[in-house]
Amino acid sequence: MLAAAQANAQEAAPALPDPATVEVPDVTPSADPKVREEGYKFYYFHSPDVSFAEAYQDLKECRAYLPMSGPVKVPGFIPWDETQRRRTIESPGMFGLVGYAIGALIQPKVERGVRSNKMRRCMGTRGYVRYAIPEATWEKLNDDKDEGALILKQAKLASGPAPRDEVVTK
Amino acid sequence: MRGIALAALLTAAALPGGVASARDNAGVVALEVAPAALKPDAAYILMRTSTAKSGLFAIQHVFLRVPSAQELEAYRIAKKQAYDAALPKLTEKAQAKGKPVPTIEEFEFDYAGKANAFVVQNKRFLEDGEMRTLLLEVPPGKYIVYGSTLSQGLVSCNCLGTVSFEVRAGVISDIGSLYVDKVHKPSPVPHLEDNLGEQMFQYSFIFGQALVPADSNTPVPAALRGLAITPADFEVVGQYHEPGASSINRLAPIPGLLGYTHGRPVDLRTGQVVR
Repeated sequence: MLAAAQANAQEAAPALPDPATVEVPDVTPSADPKVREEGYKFYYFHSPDVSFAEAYQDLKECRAYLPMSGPVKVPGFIPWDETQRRRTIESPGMFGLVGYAIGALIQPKVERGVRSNKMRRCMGTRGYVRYAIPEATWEKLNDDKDEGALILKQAKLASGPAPRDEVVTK
Repeated sequence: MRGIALAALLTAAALPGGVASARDNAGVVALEVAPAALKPDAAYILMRTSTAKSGLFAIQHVFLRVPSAQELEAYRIAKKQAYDAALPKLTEKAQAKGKPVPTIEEFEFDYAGKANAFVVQNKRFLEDGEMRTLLLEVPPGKYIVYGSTLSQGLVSCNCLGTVSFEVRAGVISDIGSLYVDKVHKPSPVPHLEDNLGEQMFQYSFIFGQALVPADSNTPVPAALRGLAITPADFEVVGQYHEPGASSINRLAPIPGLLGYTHGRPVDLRTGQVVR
């Protein structure tokens, strides 16, 4: 799925549905202090300056950075001309064979953190900020196996009304 | 603290120790003594670098030389051979899991050929100081400021924008000063885009780099005076994918050269977005 996302990022933008037809979870700011505390892990992106289509394209391009392969060996050979279109298969993981055993215990949290860092940096450079949501809401926004549907949901929120809430900064 | 420990542990595990051949450092030799004369068939990179560390490990730059058509062809032939040899097992595994057989584009391949990416080891320097001055003897070609690392491997790529520079045989190309450090929090190293968010350090490192190109005021070691030295010419490099990096970042904006609009790299000399 993620490899497909990477490849798709370079394809022409599809005709998008009317955002009014895209169902999204409720992201009304929560009064629960735990939601605020864990906002660095569970959040959604928003920018007041983008359209639904622009948000879709930004999310699509940034999610194309999520696929991971085994670590790059340096010194080593990197086929530079393939870097725009390199795909990866299921690999021993970003931490290599040695780290695999260690990583197996904590991999889900580590992977979520690494993916979050990539999205934060990529979307952050495009002017998006983050707003905290409960973990269950985050899962609804991020666990969809349909990559296109997932991006549509996030794009609707990202380009929707500005939340009356604090921006997550940490 | 737990997150920090995990980051250190896992990054250490990620370092592919022993993979680099001592004979092949992408053809790069770090000179610790100024040469009396330049080799006519070798190129040289002169640079100054910051010396920040993370724990015991120096945070270092990674450069990539754009491979020639011949090098890419040799790589593709070797990859095809490896893929063909692996295909029976790949097919068996895929069928057992009910998944499609990986294509050659999806095939993870460990190429044993000549390297084109290398770590700029700041422990081998021409002159020490707050900024260390390095002189690298390298194959002529185009080099990209590709990312950064702690040792071997690649921690952060400049996948969101960077620059390249051409180095010619028989000449020292002065690229100026390069800075690198962890950037999840404020860094004492200047010029970086830092303080990106303390929690980014929970499970992974994020390093940032900055370049200040050489100009007529950039000091040159006295021992190099009399040799052919020229300021490097830079090109802006568009965004690229590097799934082997554990984090993504970009080279900090460079006044008059590298800017960003809506996150996309711009050549400030032309005003054009570079893709």
